[in-house]
Amino acid sequence: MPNWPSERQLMGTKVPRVDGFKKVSGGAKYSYDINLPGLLYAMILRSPYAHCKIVSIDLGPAESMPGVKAVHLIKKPGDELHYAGDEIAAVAAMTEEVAEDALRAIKVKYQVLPHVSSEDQALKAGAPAARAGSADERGEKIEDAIKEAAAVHEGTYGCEVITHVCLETHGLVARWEGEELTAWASTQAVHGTGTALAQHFKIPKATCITNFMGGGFGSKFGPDIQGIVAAELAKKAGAPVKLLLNRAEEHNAAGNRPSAFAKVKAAVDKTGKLIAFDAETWGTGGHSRGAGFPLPYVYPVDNRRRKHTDCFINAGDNRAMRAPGHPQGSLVMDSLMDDLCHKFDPKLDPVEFRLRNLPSTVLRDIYTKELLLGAARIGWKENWHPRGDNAPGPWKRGLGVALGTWGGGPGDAQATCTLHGDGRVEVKCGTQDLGTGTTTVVPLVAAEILGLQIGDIAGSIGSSAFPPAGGSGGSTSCGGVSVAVAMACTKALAELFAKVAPKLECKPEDLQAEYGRVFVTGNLERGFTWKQACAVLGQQPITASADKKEGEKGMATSTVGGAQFADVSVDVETGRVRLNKIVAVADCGLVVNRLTCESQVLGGVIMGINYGLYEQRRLDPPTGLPVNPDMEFYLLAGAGDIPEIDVVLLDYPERGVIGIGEPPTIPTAAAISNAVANAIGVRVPVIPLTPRRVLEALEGKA
Amino acid sequence: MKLHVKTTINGEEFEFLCEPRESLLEVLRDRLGLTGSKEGCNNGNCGACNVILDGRLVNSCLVFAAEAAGRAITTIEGIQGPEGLHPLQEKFLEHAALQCGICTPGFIVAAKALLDRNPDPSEAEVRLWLAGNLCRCTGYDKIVRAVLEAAKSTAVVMEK
Repeated sequence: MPNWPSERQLMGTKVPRVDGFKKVSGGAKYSYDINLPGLLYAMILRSPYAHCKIVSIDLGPAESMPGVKAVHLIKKPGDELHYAGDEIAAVAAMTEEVAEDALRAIKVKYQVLPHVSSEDQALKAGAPAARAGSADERGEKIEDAIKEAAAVHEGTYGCEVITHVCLETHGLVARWEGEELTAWASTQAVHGTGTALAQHFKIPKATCITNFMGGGFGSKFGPDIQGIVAAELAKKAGAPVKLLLNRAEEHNAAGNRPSAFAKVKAAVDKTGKLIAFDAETWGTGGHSRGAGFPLPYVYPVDNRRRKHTDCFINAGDNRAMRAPGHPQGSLVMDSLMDDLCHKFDPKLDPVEFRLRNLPSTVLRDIYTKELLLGAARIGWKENWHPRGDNAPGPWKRGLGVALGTWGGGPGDAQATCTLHGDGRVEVKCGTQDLGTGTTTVVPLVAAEILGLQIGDIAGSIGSSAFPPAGGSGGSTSCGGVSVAVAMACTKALAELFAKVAPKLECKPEDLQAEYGRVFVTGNLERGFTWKQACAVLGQQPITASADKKEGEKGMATSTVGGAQFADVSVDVETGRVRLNKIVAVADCGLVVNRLTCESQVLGGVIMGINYGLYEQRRLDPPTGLPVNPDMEFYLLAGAGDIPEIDVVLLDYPERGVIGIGEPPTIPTAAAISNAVANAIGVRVPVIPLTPRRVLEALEGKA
Repeated sequence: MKLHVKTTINGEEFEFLCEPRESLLEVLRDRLGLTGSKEGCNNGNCGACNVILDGRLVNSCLVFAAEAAGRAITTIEGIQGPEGLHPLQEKFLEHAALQCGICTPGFIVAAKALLDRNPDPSEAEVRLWLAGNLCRCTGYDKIVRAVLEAAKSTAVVMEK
């Protein structure tokens, strides 16, 4: 069975990004930076109301405006617009300014309809906007278990809607050459986007290119309306078109993470083990999408019941966001676990309480290690105290812990490896780099297998012209791409060995490639340099293709667990939460690039700090209009808001490669919330933990 | 109406025509091909479009292109010296202080403006100075370390 080399030269070391030079010098070309001759700029007219119907629409004034090259209708009279920002029509013009003027010139008459802009409004009797979602009931003894329990706790917890805020907005540049369409898209899926465009226009193939992209976090998997519209406009105008959303559109129309609220009653037996769980949950994922999230989460419970309701409101629809549903599940479950622990025995250490309630899966051992390791790094033994810091003065300090889990595993990926007679190595894979470091993973893995240095490999990704790979979601790219590249290189190397063996008077299986040489195992001298070895190929290069399926068992894995700890201080006079330190223990399996792996964990933690303390999409209830679709009133942490973050990569090479994009962002906010409860003695039930919410909790109003 | 503007960008003379309402960022990106400066928010909150204008750090999305007349601008494309990368750029690479990289030009330009006026900043000064730059991926930890390390290495060069 194929597996990773047992002694690795490069994998697991710290490798600077191969595309880093371009990124630090301003030379990296993102979709937004593609300027083609004759390029037109496109913009979309959007609904100014939370809920309305188009009565009539007159595109004439825009069409006749000088500089306007194409106009495209997205909705027609009679169509309903479901949120402020819903698409109506689009224009392409010679400058952004003319495009903006043209949008203003389009005459639309609207019939304003009643709107719903919050979960509470949607849940009110009579509102048509709430729909029973999934119901789940297992075990028959919930009531009995609660009656016999050593402790029962009932609480309500929640998280608000947040948005992805990709720094590069959604969109693409579209160019037609005859019937051939090329799109430079900001996307997490070059193959998926190319295929979707080809299907829409009923053409055999559309090429999607993404050399650099400015973040996606789950929200960029296809051309979307704006991508289709850009290509339609380009076709009509006979010129390339650039359409990238502005910041407000990005907040309103390009996806969000659903809210999640839960009213839970749960019980433990006299050993402190969870025995019953009864929850009503609800949330909103926009006007047509649900708001599901996993619950119970991490900690198993036999007797459980859950009733979930999706609230439909006049807002943009949700999209997958970095570990969809899991941060919400973690916040609810780990807050509940802490409150239960406190109810059961205020002096019981919450780490010990969690150890008693771990699942009996492969993760039990991993969580145990992580909890003990993380507790030591945060100073748990020295600094943990039962709920409520009795120190004098307004600043109260507390510690908190939370766990997360994620599936992951190797995603679909194919790769080719070409060895040339002059020693050049080309590796191609139709994956993409969202900023995660995939561009560096490809040559790193190839160099490892071929016994070369990273600079010896020309790796190419970011085009649908390369071998198919899945979208970068679910933390599956690193595993799938690493395995596909390794297998393609292994096959190419075997072919090279077959040609080199006769020259060395040995069998191909006696050869190995390492230290930039191809030699007979055990005798470094009996061999060639890489270039000499490749010279046997002459003018006939070797190209080998592989699918990740050829090697995945043991080389990449799914089912991961992570633990995080927070040390906070809370000012009980102002309600301000100050972070002192976060410890993140990440289940990393076989680390591919230690440098970018750490970056992913840091990024996940900081995103968790963001939604734990700051982020909230706000709609104005009377009008249903978004209040903060910008970067001023939609709060995000800056460099000054970030504490010391101690990243611990739990190496476990025998588990194979694990994608690390999502797991580290799951438990951060729950750990912070638990630390705040530990500091001030009461639970602040809903995140973000704003000063107002902290003060309300202290006053007993929450 | 188009305005005729003469300005100096990264030490080179530039001339362009622009509308009065066009921002410096638009002209840099769309007319002059200097796409290293990025548009993140277009209202001065994210810092991705940071450039140095007559020695002062500005958000180029909030500066009219016409205001550039007769002034000297440094963009990310001009940070690198003839002898190679600036220590800030080297430290950003070495410390992996970049992920998707779209905020990186703004951070480097902002950090350059800081080191120009304060070659030996404290960690708190770095964090405060960079408060106008947002990173979503998010690499603040490594960015702050890279800036501090770059300050140290430029100090060593100056001592030599």
